[in-house]
Amino acid sequence: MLPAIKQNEIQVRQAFASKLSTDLQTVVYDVNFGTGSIATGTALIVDQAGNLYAAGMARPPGSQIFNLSNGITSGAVILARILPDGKVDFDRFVEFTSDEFAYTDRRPVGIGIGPDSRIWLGITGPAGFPRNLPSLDQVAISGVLLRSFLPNGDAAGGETIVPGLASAAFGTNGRISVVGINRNLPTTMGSATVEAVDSLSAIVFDLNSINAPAVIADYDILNIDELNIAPGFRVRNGKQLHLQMERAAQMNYVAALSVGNVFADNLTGKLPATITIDNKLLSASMLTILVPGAQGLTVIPIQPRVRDAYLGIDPLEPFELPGTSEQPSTFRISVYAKELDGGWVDFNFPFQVTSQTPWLRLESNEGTTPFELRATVDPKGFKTGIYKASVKISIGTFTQTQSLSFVVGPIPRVQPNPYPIEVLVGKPATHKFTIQSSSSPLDFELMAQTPWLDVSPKTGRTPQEVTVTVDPKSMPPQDYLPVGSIVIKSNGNQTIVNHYYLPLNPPIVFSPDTILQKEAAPGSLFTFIAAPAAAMLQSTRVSPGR
Amino acid sequence: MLGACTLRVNGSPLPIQLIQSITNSYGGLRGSYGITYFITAQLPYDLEGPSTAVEIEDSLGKRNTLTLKLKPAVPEFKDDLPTGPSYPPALLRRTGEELIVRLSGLGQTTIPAPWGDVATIPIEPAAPIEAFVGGKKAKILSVELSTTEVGIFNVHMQIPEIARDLHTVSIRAGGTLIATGFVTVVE
Repeated sequence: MLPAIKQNEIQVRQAFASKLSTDLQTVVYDVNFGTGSIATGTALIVDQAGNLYAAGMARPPGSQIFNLSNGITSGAVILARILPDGKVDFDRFVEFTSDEFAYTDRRPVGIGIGPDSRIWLGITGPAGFPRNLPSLDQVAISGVLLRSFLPNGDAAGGETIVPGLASAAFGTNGRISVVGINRNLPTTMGSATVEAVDSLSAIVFDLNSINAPAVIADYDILNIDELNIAPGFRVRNGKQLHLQMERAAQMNYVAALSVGNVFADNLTGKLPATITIDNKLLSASMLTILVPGAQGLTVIPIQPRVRDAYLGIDPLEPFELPGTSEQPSTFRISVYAKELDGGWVDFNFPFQVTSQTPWLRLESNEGTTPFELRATVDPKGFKTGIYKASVKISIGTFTQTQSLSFVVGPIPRVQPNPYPIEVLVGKPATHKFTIQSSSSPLDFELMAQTPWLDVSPKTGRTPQEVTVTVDPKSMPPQDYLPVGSIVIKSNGNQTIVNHYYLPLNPPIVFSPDTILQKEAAPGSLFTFIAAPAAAMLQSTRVSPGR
Repeated sequence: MLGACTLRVNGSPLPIQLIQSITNSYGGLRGSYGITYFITAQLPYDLEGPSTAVEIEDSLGKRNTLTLKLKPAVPEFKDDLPTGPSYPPALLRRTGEELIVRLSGLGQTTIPAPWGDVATIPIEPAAPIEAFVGGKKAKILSVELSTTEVGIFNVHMQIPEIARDLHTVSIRAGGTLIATGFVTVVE
């Protein structure tokens, strides 16, 4: 029984390996390796003779820890062989020095024993951050570096770099493999390959199905029918599988599959997973992993679902038609599918759209989101008012009906839009706004609905500037924004305008406790807070003379 | 609204700016609001000594004295470089292209700088400035006091030959190294 190498948190952080009896009841051996170093075990394998090869991240004795001031670091991995009786046959440090990615550790992620008994280490940077970097110095976090060692632990001189987004390695007796993504991917994701190195049989990581036409059904936009890893693949106990793809000419990640920790070498279970496709973050709740044999498994995901995606039609503001006798008017409508969280991702999906309202005619009935189409409305026979039309839009099997509002005849508009208005507690204040018409001039009446508001004039014709007088003495307590309402009656309709007020309570008092800065240079800008409240903003500019 | 608020160093009033911040506990217009004032002042460029006392007189006439430790340079990042990876990458540059980082606190200048006002001629900091992208030294093209923002230095650097990836941008001024954000180097 081979438990994972664990980190000894007591005293020095030193890697150790333990061997348990098959009934898990007896510790056969429990040894540290990399004496004097700070090490964490991350990979292991046992050869057919029962020797344990273990590797991990390490800081050798006397090594220089990363120093921010000079940007130099030394990171190392450690390789050890432990005989069946628990004796440490050798442990060797393999050092790397880089002035570029000084923040990283080198992480052995796999050991393989070749047919010639050479020991191969697969080494990456921090798990989860594979990078598409070309050079040896960068390979520690950009791909997987394979180094080989003689059976006695001496460097064998063999070295292979698997560049790109390679991010996992695993070994078996007779081979070591690297899981990664070929850098020369087409701009649209077609397939991903797994780089196989040394004597490994080829492993194909088939993601073709991801590129299949996406289907939206109740916000499902991606169905991965099959995601297979051929026999020979193995996720180690306590390790992560992290695969990523990248659009060749851009830095944007196109796809990523991340699988969380695996808690058993041989398992049939479910793991949390996340998939990112073309910058569209999807979350897959579970990933099922089936293990057909001791050294292989098959990954069969999953039903990922869009997180916070939505399908919409713009503009959402009412369309306006000047009057009932006007000719048919044409409007532009935008059809889109967006990621709601953040809102900057546009999904590109073919759609069909049909009008569900006889007086709304659509110029076209299909397209690919985002898409702009024209709609025509004939207002003849309409009275002044607001009319709603509905549009049915379909993407794949997903269908959504959305209403569009059309306004016939003029309606009042208020400028500027209501915004929190600052008033001093106890002091009357005034502010102004303008009533305009959406088209031809409108007569209106005004009435303040809030006791501490007055409005003048009471009647008028657009455009008209209106003065509001506020008496903050009667405002509610200032722990929220008091709202004042004014009713505009016009053209048989009634519109309510709400203004929000922010009562202020001067004077301002400084507190020495609010100093954000204790030291400064000549000419420095320094900032502090005047009022006992939580910091929100900091000024970056100074105006002279104030 | 600050009334008679005054900040002084060695008896001279400091140029200041007031920023009012409105905090909303719940979000939305009907949340619980609080008011905070942030006051930013600029120290004179010709200060000397281990520390300086800033006298603050608030609108009630109450006085406080703040002691600021003086250092040759206390660089403070004043730009909107991304502070972490983002999707899509917010700041893209190619190798050899220019990147501008805005800093304050670079200390004294080689020639007298206008206090509380913007520069009208090129003015450089006296402290040596170094820039790093992904740990690699970046060529400094120029470091000059801004002509549009008081107390701000624009550090113009050239993206070094480096892997196409997301990199940390760091600047060392007067012996102090600060990370200023991230840049994504692209093909």
